[in-house]
Amino acid sequence: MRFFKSLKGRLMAMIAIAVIVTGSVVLVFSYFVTRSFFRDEVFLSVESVVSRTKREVQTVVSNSKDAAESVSTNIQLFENVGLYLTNPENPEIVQYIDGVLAESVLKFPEFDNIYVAGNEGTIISATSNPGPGKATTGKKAPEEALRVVNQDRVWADFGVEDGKTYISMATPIRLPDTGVITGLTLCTGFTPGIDRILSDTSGFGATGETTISRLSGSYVKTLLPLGEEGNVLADRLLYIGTDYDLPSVRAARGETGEAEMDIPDAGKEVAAYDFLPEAGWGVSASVSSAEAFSHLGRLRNIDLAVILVLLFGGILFSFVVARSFAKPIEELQRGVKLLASGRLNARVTINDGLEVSELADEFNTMASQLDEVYGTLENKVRERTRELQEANERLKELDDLKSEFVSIASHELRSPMASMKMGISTVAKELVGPLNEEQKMMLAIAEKNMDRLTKLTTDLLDLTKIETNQLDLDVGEHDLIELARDVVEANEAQACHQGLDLRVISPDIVSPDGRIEAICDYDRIYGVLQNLISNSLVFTEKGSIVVSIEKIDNTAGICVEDTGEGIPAEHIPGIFEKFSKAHFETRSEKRGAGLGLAIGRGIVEAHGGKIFVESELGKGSKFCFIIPLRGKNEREEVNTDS
Amino acid sequence: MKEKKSILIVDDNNDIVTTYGVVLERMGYRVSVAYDGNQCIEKIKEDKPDLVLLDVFLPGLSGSEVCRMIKEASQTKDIPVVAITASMSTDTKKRMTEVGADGFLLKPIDVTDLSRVIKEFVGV
Ligand SMILES: Nc1ncnc2c1ncn2[C@@H]1O[C@H](COP(=O)(O)OP(=O)(O)OP(=O)(O)O)[C@@H](O)[C@H]1O
Ligand SMILES: [Mg+2]
Repeated sequence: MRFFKSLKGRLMAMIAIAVIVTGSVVLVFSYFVTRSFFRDEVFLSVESVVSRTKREVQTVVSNSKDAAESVSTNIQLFENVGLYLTNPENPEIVQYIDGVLAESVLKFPEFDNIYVAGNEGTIISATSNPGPGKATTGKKAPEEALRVVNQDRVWADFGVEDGKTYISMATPIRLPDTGVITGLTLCTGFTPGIDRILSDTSGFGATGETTISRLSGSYVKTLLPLGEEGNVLADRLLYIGTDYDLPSVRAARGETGEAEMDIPDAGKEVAAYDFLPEAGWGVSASVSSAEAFSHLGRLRNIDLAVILVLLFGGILFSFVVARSFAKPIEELQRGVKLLASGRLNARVTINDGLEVSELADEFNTMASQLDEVYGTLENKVRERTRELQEANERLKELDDLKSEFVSIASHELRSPMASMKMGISTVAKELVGPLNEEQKMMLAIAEKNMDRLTKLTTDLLDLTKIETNQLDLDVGEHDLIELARDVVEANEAQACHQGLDLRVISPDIVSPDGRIEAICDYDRIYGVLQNLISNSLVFTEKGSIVVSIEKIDNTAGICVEDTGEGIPAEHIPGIFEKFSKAHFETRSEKRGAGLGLAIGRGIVEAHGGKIFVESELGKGSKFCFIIPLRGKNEREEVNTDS
Repeated sequence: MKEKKSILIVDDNNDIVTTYGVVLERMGYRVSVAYDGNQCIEKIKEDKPDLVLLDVFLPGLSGSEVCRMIKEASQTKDIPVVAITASMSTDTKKRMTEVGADGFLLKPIDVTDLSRVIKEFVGV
């Protein structure tokens, strides 16, 4: 169904419907017109057969009648019959009549036998030639014949003997002076003329049938051909009381006309019928409708076939036409789709010379313009991207340069600092001569600041290493508890000097031998812890600094908790960034550079660990870091929640 | 014997204050000290110095603010102010000149520099 929603489908359906409907209407119409003409034609031909038959039968009948009348009006005959009626016992008269009859048969070859009967019906004399119509004297002539003849009319009958037709004609014998009817003659003879007429089905068809029929009392006597050739004849008596409506019956009754009739046991027939008044005979002709209209049937079949051909042809034709219309549009549509999908080189070629090809030209122009515009746009984008990349690379180079600069500078700084340190410390320790108090004080300040400078230089170098991913760890297995004790020990003097309680707590249950072995860089972890402790020492006025170590699964956690001034909440999130400082009121010589925590975080993360802080202003701070015991590859097991 | 000229050192670093103090006293000046801007203003009110050595980078009030305050007040505006900076960027210099600084010294300062500048503004 989707097909019929497409342009091609609709076009096709329209054309197909137009072709098929017009074709079918024309065909059906012509069929009915032809049919009505054809019917008339069939009726006419049957009618013409009837009228031809009637004419021919009439000729035969009137010839026979003439002959029969000649026999009965023979002077010798009616005189002798008259004599016989007055003198029936005279055998000479009968002999004489016999002679007249024999003479008449010879004279009229159309008759085979003739007999004479008196007006009461008894046969007086009869010939006995071979053929139909033999009679025996003394017997009665047919009552019907007698009645008709007594009314001064001719009685005509027919019959079949040996498959051949004969006619019997009864004519009255009258006395010429009085006109009294004294008897009748009945002439009978084969009539090949009738046979010929009835077997002539020319212009009629194989099922054509011609009959002669007459009414006899309550019967209809019919003469009809039998067999396929129609050359075998039969006479048949039909009792008309049984309500047979046949063409022959209608004809025998004296009706004239034509009709399509339903014949019992034979189906429909087209029939025509007529009547011969002088003989009292009907003539009918009929042909089966099936045969008569067989041409019509063939015509109908041809029409149906043509409609079928039209149906397929129409669909094919419509398909071809629809395709020729839809193809350029589809082509255009394909182009548009391609273009829409981003294929800017999409072009369409349509050469139908119609509006669609103009449209296609427009489309092509549009597409090339788009292509062009897009091309320049793309070029621009590419150019910009390249520029950006270049800028980016320059930036990176600069960054590298900066890192390089810092590391070189740090190294370069160390050498002059080394000699300064050596000089200052030597003089300060009075190794080159005694100093007064002022000199000592000045040198102590110089040496202290010298140390700060060294630390700063080292820190800057470390930070640079961290930022450029150049920090390489010198890992080995170390006991973290011992490490913590080392750091604390190194700071004990300072803590004591400040009056602070600095100690390490490590629960003995953490490990049976009181050790926590971890794979780490001893010096680096030492540095991290040292910075945490020195921070606490700087920012704690009184109270304690407690270092605690814990082992949780495969990680070790080290915390430094002090009772110092704490960190303002707004500074906590960025406290591990470089140069971050939360306290400014402190004297500058006590303040660090803000690098310690940043370096610490870098080192802990390089170990695969985490560093974090909890602090409350005025109450103290707790800095913790955790590292995996088995080195960085076990990092995934470290998490800050534990 | 005439009265000693007085010099006010303004710096939040005690080491610097101490060493500068030792040097200046040796050179024969009276030295007073302020560790931040507010202290500096107070000290000037207490005892008007002959020269202010002002560190530009101070906690709280910045060096330029302190300098402007000195130069705006009629009693103190004629006190020479020498700005001591860690970076001699044009930006800093411009800012300090705007607020009326009379001279500049770039850290680190040695004794020669110090005595030259002081002689220029105070005399021996
Ligand atoms: N235990 C602490 N108590 C209170 N504040 C702290 C504590 N530890 C660190 N801080 C705050 O964090 C800031 C950054 O510390 P960090 O160790 O990174 O730098 P620093 O100690 O100032 O200098 P550096 O370590 O480079 O000599 C400190 O200046 C301080 O303000
Ligand atoms: Mg620190």
